[in-house]
Amino acid sequence: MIQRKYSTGESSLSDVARALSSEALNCINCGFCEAVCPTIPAFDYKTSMGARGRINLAKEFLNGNHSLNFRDPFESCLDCYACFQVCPAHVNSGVVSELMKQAIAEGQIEDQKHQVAEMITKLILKYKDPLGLKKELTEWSKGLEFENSYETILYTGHMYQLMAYNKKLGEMLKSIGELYRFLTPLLSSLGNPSFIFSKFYDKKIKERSESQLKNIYFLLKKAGIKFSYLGEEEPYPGTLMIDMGYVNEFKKYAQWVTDLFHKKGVKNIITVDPHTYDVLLNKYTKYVEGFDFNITFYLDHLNSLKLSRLGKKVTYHEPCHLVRHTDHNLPKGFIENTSDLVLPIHNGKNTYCCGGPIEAFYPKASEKISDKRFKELKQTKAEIIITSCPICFVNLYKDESVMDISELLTKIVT
Amino acid sequence: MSITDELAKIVGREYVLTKYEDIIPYVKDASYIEGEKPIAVVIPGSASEVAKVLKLCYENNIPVYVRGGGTSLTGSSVPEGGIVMSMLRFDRILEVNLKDRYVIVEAGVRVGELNAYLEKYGYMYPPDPASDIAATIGGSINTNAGGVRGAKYGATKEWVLGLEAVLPDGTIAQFGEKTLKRSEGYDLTALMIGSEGTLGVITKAILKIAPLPKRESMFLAFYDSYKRFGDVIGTLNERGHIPLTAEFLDEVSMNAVKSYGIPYPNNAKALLIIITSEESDEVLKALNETSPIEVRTIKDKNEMDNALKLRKGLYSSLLLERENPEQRVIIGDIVVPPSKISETVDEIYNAAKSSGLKIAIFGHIGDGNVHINIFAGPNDMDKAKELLLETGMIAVKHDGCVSAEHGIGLEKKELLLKEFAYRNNQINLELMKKIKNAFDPKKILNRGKLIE
Repeated sequence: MIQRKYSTGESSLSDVARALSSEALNCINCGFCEAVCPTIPAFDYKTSMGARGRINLAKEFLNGNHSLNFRDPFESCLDCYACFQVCPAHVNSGVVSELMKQAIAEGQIEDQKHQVAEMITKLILKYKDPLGLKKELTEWSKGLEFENSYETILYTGHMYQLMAYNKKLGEMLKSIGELYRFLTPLLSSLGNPSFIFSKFYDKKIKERSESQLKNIYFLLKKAGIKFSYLGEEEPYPGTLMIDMGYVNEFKKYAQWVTDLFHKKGVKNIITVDPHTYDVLLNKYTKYVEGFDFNITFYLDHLNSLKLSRLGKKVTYHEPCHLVRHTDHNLPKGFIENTSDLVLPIHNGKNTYCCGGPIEAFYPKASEKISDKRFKELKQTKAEIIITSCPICFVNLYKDESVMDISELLTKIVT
Repeated sequence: MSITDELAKIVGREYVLTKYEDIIPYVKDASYIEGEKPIAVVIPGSASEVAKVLKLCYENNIPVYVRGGGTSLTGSSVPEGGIVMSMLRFDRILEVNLKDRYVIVEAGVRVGELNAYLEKYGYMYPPDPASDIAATIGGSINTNAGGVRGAKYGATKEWVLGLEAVLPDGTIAQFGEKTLKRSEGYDLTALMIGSEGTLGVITKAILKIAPLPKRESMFLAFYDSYKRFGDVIGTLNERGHIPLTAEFLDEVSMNAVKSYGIPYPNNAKALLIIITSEESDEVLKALNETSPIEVRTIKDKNEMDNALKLRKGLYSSLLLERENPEQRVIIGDIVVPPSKISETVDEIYNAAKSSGLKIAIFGHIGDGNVHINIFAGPNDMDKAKELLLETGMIAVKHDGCVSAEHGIGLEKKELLLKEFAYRNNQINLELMKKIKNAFDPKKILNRGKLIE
């Protein structure tokens, strides 16, 4: 916890502006954040598309200059918090981006809302999923048995399942370019456009993601954990809403999710991906009253498993939302104990984002970031690259050496 | 055709920035000095593009402000209109040659990144400014940057073998070579070092590298007064114990890093951190002769790393001591012969007391480099600038210099002149002006900085 000698912000400011002042005005402009921000090289080395430039622009906003293009600089932020790790003044440029996105979403900056973000938020509120999908999300669980009691649930948060659709959506947005400005309102006007989205997915990714979820199921079973699954009733956690700045909508939605869990008698929630784990641990606890569940990551339950040694050189891509956002690095422990682990040049708290969070809106930049990270992982000369996040997996899945940690553990569990 | 169109023709439209939101981040660097908005920011990707841009600007008499990591503490990289040339696309490490002990890198490579790369070979590039995570090779050459390894390895000028630089009229020049020594008349490579982007645009550098040293021992020596500092380093030097690192902290600095959990003895008001690559007995003996309250010897690598975190986190911790976010911690940078540190620091404290400003002092005692950190709110800026001037002249009076490793930029132009005047040494200024004129008669490069 950072202890400053003073508090910032004036009472006359909006909540967003006050929070923004507390963060951005402490910046000393040293440029350390700029050096580690993956989006600068990805956006042709433009400083406004990096951590220090974003703070400079947030200061412009605070000075009342609301007419600039804030959308691209802030929506391109990966939310990876690499900047925060190196800031001598303890400023988190990632948080500055989150607040500026909130200002955009709340209309404090006019005409800069992203139509796709608006559409996704509406779909989540209405259908409890960013693409309005339902039965497609449960296909991985066909034929699997679950406990009747919902006291402990396996909560997928839809993340593994959505990857196949997200990948296709990203490709579509990339190919239509600025046409999305006309097509998105059209899609939104269709009521539930899920019948369209459900048809477009990457088949290979869909099969692989479903198989990864099954692995997680079997590993937990093997460890003797009893759990249930909400199936088609399982709601999306709302991660994208908060990522895109729709904080007020997220608060209401998260309250609804919490009430549903209470109604079902849920006490323990086992998450399977870093983003859902992070949002429940850090955002639900912040914004939702009565969020009193025991939140775990599935690997927390696997310590009793007997694992054989793999006998191969393995590298591990540490996801930002585990090592930085939640300070959780159990996957690394599993890999260290069972393989010859060699870490890439950026590792631990200095890990490097996979580019995934901006894949839908900025696919070219996202690809540059994932290419750079993949190259770093390959430079370790490891035979296998391990990920522990479905977004990281899809973005780094550039050859067959890439595996989800659930696949590694399934391979070596005895 | 407009100048921005012509620039776009050279580097591509995406590498010419003109929108307000795109150029505003280039108006400031890490100093407190704010420049004027440039006409455009151009981001070239090769020496030939740099050459074409410079030729265009030279012909049209447009000032060019070259920017690396934007980490200058003296306003050296802020523009005053004109064109900003960002060197961040020059980010490749081109060659590592351990047999001949050199690396070839492009100017935009970050110093810390180069060292992380060299570490796997068991080598390092010794200059390590505190901003090494962000400072670029080009920028650090332009300010002759130092760092905590300076006591043993010296500053940047000891480590640059050769350069590729583009001159203001667009000529691409090669200075120096891959050889570890040369005797070929005027050393034009050396002339570029510390020139703060006023003579040419460095695009590539051949740098000497050194094996990573073994850290045998670390000493934490606590004193009841900073007045022993000069004795300590003098004693070590006299006996031939040149430390790898020798850092000092005053009482305010020590208090700022208390949270690092290293217990201080009662009455400790100054701390020395010394790392040596030799056996410790002789160094310990020498330290004990300088009347410390306590000397702790650390041999374990992890414990050494932990203690070094305290030093590395020092500036960060001082920032938390600010009274409000408007308050700045302005870092002064002077150098004196190491044996004169105590009397210099004494006078600096007196000057600070008279100004009424809070200061914290730390620095690289091994090479006599003192950093005076001034806590100054918006209303204190005039007083802070006065204090910076005064501390500079205190250094000069003790046979020192007004800048050790941060350069001159805009902040110290007046001080540099005062130093020359104090020593009745105006010939330095005259020669510098002639050199500038020989390289850049139209004065398009970093106009208004250093000696202008």
